[in-house]
Amino acid sequence: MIENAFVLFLLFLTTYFMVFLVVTFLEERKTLAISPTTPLLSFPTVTIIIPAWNEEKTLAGTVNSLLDLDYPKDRIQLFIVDDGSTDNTLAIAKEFERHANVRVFHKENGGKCTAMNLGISESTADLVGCLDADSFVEKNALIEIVRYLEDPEVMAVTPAVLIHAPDNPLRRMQSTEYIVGQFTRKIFARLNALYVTPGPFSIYRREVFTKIGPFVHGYGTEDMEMAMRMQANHMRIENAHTARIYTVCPRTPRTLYKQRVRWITGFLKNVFFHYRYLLFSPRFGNLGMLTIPFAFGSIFIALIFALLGIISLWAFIRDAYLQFTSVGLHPEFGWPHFDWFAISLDLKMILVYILGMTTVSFVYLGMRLAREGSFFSQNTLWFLALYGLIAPFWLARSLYNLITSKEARWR
Amino acid sequence: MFNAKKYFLVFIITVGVFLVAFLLSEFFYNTRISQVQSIETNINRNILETEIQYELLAEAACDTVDGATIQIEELNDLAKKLAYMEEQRGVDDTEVITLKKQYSLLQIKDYLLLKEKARRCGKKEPTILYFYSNKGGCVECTKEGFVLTDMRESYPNLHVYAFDYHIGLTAIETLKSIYNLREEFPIIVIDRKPIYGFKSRKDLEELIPDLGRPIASSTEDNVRR
Repeated sequence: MIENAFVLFLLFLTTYFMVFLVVTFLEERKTLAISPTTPLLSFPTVTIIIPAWNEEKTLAGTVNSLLDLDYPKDRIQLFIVDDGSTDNTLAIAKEFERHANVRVFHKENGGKCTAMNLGISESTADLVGCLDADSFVEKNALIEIVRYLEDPEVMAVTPAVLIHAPDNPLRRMQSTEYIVGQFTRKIFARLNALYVTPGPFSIYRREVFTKIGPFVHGYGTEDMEMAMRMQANHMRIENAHTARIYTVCPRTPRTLYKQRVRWITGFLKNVFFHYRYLLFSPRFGNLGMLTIPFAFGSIFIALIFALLGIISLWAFIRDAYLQFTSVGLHPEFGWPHFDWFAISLDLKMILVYILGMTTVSFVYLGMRLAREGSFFSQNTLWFLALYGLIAPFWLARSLYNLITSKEARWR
Repeated sequence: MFNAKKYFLVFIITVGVFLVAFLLSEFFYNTRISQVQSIETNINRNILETEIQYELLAEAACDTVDGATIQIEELNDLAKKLAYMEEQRGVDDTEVITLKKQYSLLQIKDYLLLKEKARRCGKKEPTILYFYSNKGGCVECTKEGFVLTDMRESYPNLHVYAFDYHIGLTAIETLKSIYNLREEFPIIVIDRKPIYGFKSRKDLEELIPDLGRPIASSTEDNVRR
């Protein structure tokens, strides 16, 4: 009885959050698009920092995509910061010095935030951005972002981060996950409640760093820490969903697991150890009252549902094993007999179906917003089939890291 | 900016979503209950019809009536539906318990009809009374359920009647006292003789020699466990 009520309470919280996103989407649906034909009022100067640590394979592609940006060449500078690479990264970077607007820096390895900070200290531009050396920008990405910065209230803009050439089930799953993420990021932006400015091509006004300081390690998630610090200082962050950036995502379960543990541990530690005062504080608007509390709580909620799923799966496997040991294998041939009594239709399951359908609709809306991917694709199927099964592993590990305060490595 | 009105509006909508989900679940639940009740009524009528035919035709009924086999498929289908409902609503759901009681009574009536047929026509059909328990996680009961389902599929003339030992029906209590049953599960009664503990398909085939030839089997989870 108590267990049942607790599960319903968790479902209520999840439904509340989903309804909030849907209501905001309906409120903002007309303002979600900014006409791409609107000319820019001016072209502010921009510095893009490319922190690179052993990125010899992807660095050239990243820099070339930046050189190809549809933006006046005299208004943009590229800073490649070699963070003590042990491979050929520095040599490749130096080849780009033939371009007048490219500068190369070399420093001892100190982590991404130190590379970023070196670039920021050297920049005199109006805007400063970052592009990870495994990501590529679309030609119009910077113009689309600068369009949002014409609003003097906006202090930073995040792009639509998408997956470059997903070529296996795990990457296909991540491709759809990023699209759902893009939908929620856009809604969070409309709520002025973004708590991450992703490494790939988030652009800041340079004054942000003079006012609130440079990047810090932030438990390996300096982009999250910076966004939270900005929000704590009431600096607005927007999302330009038409500025598309492609990034290379982990290919193997092991690398994906490590990346996500770093991200989620970083989020949990940043919130818990430094920004706890944001939680449930109306002073910080929807960030304090909705997105950060739910993002924090959703880790616990997801783990509890995963535990319930494991219990059901265990019961199923146990029954299958007992059946096998009792009567052996009896493969059935012909059409399976459908009995609608077999479908669970109690209150909890109906709510789960509703939440599942809402998530699927977010996939669809995310694809429309980012103008990326096809709804009826392998990517969607892999996302629906795999994500719920594997995400609990990194959530559990991240929670363990928070409890034991073990720091996840940034790479 | 924190907009308290919007938070309240979303709360109201969320309550609305819960209300709709609750009403839907109640609607589906009641529809299923009605469907099960309708099947039970149907079986009851069939049994009654067969009983009346026996009374009317006396000895001639042996040539014209095959009532006991009419109920097998419907009883199996009913068992499967009840198993699903029990799994989803829990073994303590009062409606499900009521339907199970009715199902148990129908099984007993069918069993008595089968005995009557054997008495009148001198033709005895292989029959198993199976008592299981939902209390204390009886793993052997689950396994026995699989074996009996498998056998029922293999031997169409085999009659398996499955009873929840603790369902609280006077008729079941009477069966317990007739066969002098102990609380050791699973219990199988063949030819009035109770046998305790898990019995494999091979064991049961040896215990019931007049099963006939098996047909190609398939498993369906429809013997109550």
